[in-house]
Amino acid sequence: MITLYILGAASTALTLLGFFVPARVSRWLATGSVAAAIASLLFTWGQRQTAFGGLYVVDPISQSFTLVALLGVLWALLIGRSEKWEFSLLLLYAAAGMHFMASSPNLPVLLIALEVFSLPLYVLATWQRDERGFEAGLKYFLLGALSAAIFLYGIALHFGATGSFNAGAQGSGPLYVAALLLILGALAFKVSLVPFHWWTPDVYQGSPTTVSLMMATAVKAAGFAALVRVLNVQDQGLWGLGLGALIALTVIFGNLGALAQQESKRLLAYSSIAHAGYVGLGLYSGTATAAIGFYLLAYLLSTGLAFAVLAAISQGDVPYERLRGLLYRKPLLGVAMSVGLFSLAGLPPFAGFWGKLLVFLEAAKAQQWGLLVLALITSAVAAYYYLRLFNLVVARGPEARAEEEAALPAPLVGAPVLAGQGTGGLSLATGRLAAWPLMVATALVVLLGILPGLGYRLFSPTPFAALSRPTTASTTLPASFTITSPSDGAELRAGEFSLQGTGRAGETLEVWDNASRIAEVRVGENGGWSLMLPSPPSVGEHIYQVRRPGEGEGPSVRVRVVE
Amino acid sequence: MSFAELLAAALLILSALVVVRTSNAVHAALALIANFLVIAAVYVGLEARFVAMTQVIVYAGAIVVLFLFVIMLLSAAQANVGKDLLPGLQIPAILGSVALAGVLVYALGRFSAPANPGVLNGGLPQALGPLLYTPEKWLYALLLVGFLLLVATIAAVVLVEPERIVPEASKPASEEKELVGR
Repeated sequence: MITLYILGAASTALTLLGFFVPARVSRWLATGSVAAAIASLLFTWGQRQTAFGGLYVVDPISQSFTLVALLGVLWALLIGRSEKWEFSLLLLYAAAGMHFMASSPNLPVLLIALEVFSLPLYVLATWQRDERGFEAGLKYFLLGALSAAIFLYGIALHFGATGSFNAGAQGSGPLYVAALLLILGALAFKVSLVPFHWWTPDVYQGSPTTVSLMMATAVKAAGFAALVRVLNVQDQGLWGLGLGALIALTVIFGNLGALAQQESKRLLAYSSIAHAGYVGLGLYSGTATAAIGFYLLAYLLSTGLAFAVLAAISQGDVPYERLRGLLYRKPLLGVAMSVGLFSLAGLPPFAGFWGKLLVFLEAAKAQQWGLLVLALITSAVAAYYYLRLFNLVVARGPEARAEEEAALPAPLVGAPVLAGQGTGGLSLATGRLAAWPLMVATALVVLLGILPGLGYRLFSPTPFAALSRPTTASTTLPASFTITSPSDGAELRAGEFSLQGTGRAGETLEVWDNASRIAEVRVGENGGWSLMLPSPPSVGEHIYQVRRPGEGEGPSVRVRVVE
Repeated sequence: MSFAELLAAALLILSALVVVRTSNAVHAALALIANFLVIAAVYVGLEARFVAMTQVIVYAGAIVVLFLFVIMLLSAAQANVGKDLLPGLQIPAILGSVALAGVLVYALGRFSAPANPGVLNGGLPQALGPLLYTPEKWLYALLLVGFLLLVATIAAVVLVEPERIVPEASKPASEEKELVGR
């Protein structure tokens, strides 16, 4: 709850404050707000909470994915510096939207949250007002609006098929499959799974590198939060095949596309497509929140390192040649880039290796052998282009040109930087600021590679649960359970209708009609349950009550059934 | 299917086709308004009167009017200008649309709606207000929509505002020219 209040209040306040304070101060306020939100997350870590009638939930999914998303935004705020204060404001809006997205099991709310963080991104993509910036913004906006429409239609069909707006509601029939596939397609656009990835290379290349860093990390985390909730369905019928096709295409096309690139930013765009496919492997298992969370954290740190180094070289294109001999010219940049690349390639002892291992274990638990083999083979392919970049970084080359030196931020060069020209007033942070995140992230990638338990414990109550049989997480906190629909005092006509509500993920609840037990429901991973009544209710007063097995009392609704 | 329903369906499809197919953007926007008016009438028939009024006021009365402003300000009524970079895409596009429609019609055809969705009371705001503003119901979603509108406003302003002239010692001439050009 407190994270929601911090982000909502800070972004609203900064909207007005920005007119009266210098851009530098706005940036600090935005950075401070995101940092405060991260701190509040960590203080309330592991607590569960449901508010607003179940539309806002704080649970492991919300916490882990919000953490990754906010870290990505924080990084972009720390290294991006614009003359226009709206730059930091838009990043803060996006951070708020991603938190909304990660913390709701309700599909309409997910759609609103998706728009909240997409709109600022469309504007940030055009931040460099040149042909390519406009092209990036236009492509992103048109395709984003289309995918939002697909998402909305999927939600409508989902409501038709299940009578529930909650993600993860059980259902059957072609309508339900169509709904899930539409929602899957729309969310796959956000996390850029093939064939919904066409915007990714162009947008990452046309946007300022600082913004690309945020898009490649934070946006993916928010998208996967929604995917984890939506795809938490017991039987994997047709949509399981659809997801498998997406993942197979993604790991093949992402890696092969990256092989053919001649420019570092575009290469990282294709690499981020490929990584979305690896994360997708975890979606087959209902208990993969911890593995996906750790993977996304490792991926954030490694891909962030690579993008931050590119941003330090130039906000525009970085042809391969400009990386030549980076290690000797700028030792810090060279080391950070190398560590990031090794981690992305999934080589031990770096964090990326453990991330891949955990996700692959989840896929193995779900017995997706074909996809697993494909992912392993393509990982080996990926090593080629990551190591090619590394090879350039450590190559002895001709001396760097003077203008390259001038393009690097001060702490890394020792020369003052000209304010960003022709980049929408976007330049890199100077002072020690640009160097700190790089050092911290490099240290973290190595540390999490040597001691992965440190990071994995964050996301999972029991370290290495992936290696053992899945256990149901038990919390000692009193978790409430409710009936959200039908509402108390509602008048319904006789005929079939469904009950919905919230509860503690994974528990089984008993549903009582007046004084007889009519059914048991299992609460899904997202904390929501729904039940189609087994037989149509008789005419008259009904009191529907939900109880924990063995407990006598629970929330109830009084419903009048009329002819 | 009564006669009125058939007529509404025919009008909806016809106006939508005009929106997509006509090469005059003003005609397309006007056809879109016609489409919205018909869909509002359909909403009334489906006991969603408040949504129908909102559809007319907001969609037809505000959004498409903005469309028309933009089209007329840019004198962009004629669509077929420039080079078609993807000739021969029409047939695949039509086939794709028909295939998608076929799949959705199949899915919807196998679906039987609940016999009675409850008492809708004509979908008047008296019934919708408590749903929208009760904290246990949809208030959170409503607040988020409010936040989204704030974000949209700021995003639109940032997107269109001209480059600010930042007092700087040395500005390259190329950028000066750009400032004039925009």
